[in-house]
Amino acid sequence: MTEQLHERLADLAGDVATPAPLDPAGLWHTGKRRQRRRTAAAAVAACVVVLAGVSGAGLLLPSGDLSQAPSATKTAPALPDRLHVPGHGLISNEDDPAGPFAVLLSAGQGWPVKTSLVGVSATTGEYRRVTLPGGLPPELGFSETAASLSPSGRYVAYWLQRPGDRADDHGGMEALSGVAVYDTRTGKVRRELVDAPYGISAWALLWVDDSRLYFRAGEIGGAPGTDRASSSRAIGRGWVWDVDGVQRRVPLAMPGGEAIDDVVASDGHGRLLVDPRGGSRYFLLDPAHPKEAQQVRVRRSDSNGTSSAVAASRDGKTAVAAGDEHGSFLAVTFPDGRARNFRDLRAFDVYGWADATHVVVGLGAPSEDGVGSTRIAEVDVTTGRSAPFIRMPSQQLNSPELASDLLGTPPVDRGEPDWPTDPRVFIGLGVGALVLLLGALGVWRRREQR
Amino acid sequence: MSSAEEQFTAYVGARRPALVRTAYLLTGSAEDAEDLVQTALIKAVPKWGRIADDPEPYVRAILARESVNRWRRRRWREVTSDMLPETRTAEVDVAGREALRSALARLAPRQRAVIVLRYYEDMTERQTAEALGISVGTVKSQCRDALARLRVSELAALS
Repeated sequence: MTEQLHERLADLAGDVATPAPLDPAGLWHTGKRRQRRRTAAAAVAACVVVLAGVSGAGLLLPSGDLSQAPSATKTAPALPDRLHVPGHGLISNEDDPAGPFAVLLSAGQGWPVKTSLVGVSATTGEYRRVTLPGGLPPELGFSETAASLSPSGRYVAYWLQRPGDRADDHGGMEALSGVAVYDTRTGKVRRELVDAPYGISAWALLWVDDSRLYFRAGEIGGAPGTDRASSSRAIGRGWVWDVDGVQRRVPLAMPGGEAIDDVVASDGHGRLLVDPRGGSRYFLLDPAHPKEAQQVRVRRSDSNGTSSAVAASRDGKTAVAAGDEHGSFLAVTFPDGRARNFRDLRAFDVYGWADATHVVVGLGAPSEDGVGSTRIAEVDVTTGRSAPFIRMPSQQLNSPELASDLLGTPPVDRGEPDWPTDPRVFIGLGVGALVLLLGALGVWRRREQR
Repeated sequence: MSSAEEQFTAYVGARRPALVRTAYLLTGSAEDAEDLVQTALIKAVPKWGRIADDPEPYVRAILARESVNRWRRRRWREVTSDMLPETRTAEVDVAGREALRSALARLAPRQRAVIVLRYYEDMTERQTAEALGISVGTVKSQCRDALARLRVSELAALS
């Protein structure tokens, strides 16, 4: 069979006519062109693979890790003389701690906009994304109680959200479980929990000095006849917690145990401005030495009686963003009882005292487009003159938190931060290049097949 | 003209008719056979520096693989003739050739390639396996199956 098959196959093959003459040189050159095209296609394919790899890496990496800039040179701690709107894909402070922070911002990033906490290093000016474990969503902003930067910028104090609770369960109030401090130099967190069946609500959170935190919380009550929380909250009480110590919080009280109705401000150096009986008398009180409380005069409320931003100096001066019919203005009360109003300085925020005669405030200024802008200025309370302190970007930023210890040091020029490239840019470029190259390959293949 | 190109030119001139005959058995069409040979020769050019001493196995391997791949890519299926020879004689006649061509056309492309390489090119099973990039076992099984199909076709032709 096989021999027969060979013969029959040979016979069948002989059927084919002698092929037409062919130019071998043409075949050779066609082969060479094909070789060149295949080499080029292989190079393109290699590029595609590399781009796809880069894109894949961008997808897998957490945002901000792809193009981490080398750490900037450290200098003495200082505030930056200018703030910038944070770029995309910031490096996380957990990945590369840059504390202490000179500034804490809350800024919207990305699309859709997602609010993030951002710290600005006091020693390098670098910007870092900050995640506060167990904290309230950054979308809530700082408000008056959400997060607070310690005077040196080493810690960020914040409220701990009660796990599993929603604000809707408590009449719109966030149910909290305690406070925590985030160490900006290490990313570590210390927690101080408050036992309460339905959680607590936030009243006040401010630093007595760089290691003592004052916080006041009200206990959320239970709704009568149910096992659910009510919408009511107690005024609660205030405690001082030594975040570097081993002891738990201690209640804050006036000498003799007199309760304190309100803590208005802190001088950042160990004394709180307190209002024991609600608007009648004010004292500068060191929680560790209550008997040495110093009475001071404060013009605190505006014409509508609402509370205003207040900053106390070490010598007992107070600066207030007081209110009038045109908005808010800077009002300063001296320890001897004299008061001075600076109605041409439309101060909406008071950051603290730079020294005995200069206070740092946030000023609002009308702009040409009518939207208005803000700036941070230093005001000489003896003359009323203001000078730019920290320049704000034309694009609005939420009011920042400043490390008050650094207010006495002239802000320094940190230059434009070297924003990391958003990994999504790499992904977008990679995908775009991939699509283009695949399209080009497809067109090329079609032409070749014709 | 480079020496490699000269060698290539000489090889094409000497071996192209034989390659076309093999390709004819693989494709069943003279036109496709010439096209297949040209493709195989063009594909051999980039490798010529390495195969110039003995290009035949490489070119035949391309020829066989390309015939299978073309079928896969284009789903080429030859239109087979229903004409059968009236009688089967010891001497190969026109009808016998047509019957064989029809029987080959009914084989799967790889089976056809195995039959052509094994029984026309007289390659061993190992050489056939290397040329087609398949295992020797696959060559054996494909060959067995192909021969069985050819026999059935032969019987059909006889009937």
